[in-house]
Amino acid sequence: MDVEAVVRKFLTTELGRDVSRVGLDDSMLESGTIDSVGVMQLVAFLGKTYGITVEDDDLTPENFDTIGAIAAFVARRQAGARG
Amino acid sequence: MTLVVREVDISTEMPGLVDVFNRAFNVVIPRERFDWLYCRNPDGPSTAWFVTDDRTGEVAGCTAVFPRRIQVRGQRTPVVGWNCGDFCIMPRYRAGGAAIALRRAARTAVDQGVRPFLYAHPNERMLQIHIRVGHSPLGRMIRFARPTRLGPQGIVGRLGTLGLSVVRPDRLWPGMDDYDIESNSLPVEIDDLFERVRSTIGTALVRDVRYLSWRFIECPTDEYRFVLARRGPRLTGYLAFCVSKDQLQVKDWLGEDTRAVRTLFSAAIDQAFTAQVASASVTMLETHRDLGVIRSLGFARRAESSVTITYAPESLPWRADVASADAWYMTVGDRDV
Repeated sequence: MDVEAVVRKFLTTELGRDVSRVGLDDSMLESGTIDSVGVMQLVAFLGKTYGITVEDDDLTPENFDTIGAIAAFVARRQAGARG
Repeated sequence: MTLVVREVDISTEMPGLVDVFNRAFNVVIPRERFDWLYCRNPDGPSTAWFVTDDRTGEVAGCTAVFPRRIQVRGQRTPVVGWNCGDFCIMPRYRAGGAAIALRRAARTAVDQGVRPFLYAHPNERMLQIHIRVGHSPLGRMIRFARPTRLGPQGIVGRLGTLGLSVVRPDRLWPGMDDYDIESNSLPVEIDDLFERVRSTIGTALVRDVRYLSWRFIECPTDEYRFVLARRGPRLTGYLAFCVSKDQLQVKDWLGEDTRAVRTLFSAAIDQAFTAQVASASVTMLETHRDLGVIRSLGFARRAESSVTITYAPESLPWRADVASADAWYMTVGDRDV
């Protein structure tokens, strides 16, 4: 399962959010789909699932506002870890 | 994006601060509430921080801490700690970083010695932000209630309520103090009461008449009344309450002994019956010394609870006296409005 699908599943099953109509580039912060605490839970999940570390400075809208941004962030971290 | 935290100049930036909270919560909070809470606190003015988006200059969020004089383990000379209060983040910045930056601002100030420690009563969601920045759970605030009205309406309900008013465990105890109800002023004897009780309640807010008058009489958002217990001419206790959401809510109290505490809570039950509300309710730290007395008066534990947190640097010599629930005398009135 790719990162986008994994994130969608997490948002649906763990945070109880309906993301079926949330596009890859739709803002989830502005719409209230996710907030600071939801991001913290997601970060813990991503850490366990992908073995990545998320620093405080990483917790920005650029990295966590959209499903696409989250997937890209995870990909960058995995690439960084491999490099 | 770079987030920058800076201290708010309360004397000149209050309109901007109020605007941030109103926009974040999409409500209009009375300005009077901010003036009272931030500027007229007898324990000192609040300290607040903005977190801003360095790229645009936009304010992403705000938080404030409120000074409280606290006697540590009954020592006469109080210290001033911070009670963490108002907190908001604009929706588009709710990715965690802004919230953590703001929370870290208060902790950093404590680490730098501005204040010796802080405490807070976060909701379950904000608790995770506190934990992330290294604050520690102190204990749970737990709620107890004593029904004073039974539904449904009609003859069955009236009979049930009559039964509640007749079966009064609080009335079974011999020897109660006298009491009366006040709303507009508190007697200066409260300072003597606190001085007598001080050494027995451990770590606690300084409950003197100056603080209590500000906290409960001058509060612009809620209307409080007081039970004042007396044994002969001597004031033996006070209890602050308000009536809201079909409950009599006990916010704070101090009794010099078990008899005084029984009197205060029995009087609160009387007031709940008079107000014809569904119950009398009280919330306190799970280790509160009066918990057993309150239970014995017919108050039963309710499911709601929340976690109180604290932070004090490891280097603080008396850290254990503020970081342990057993050390504290804490009621729901110790949090902010």
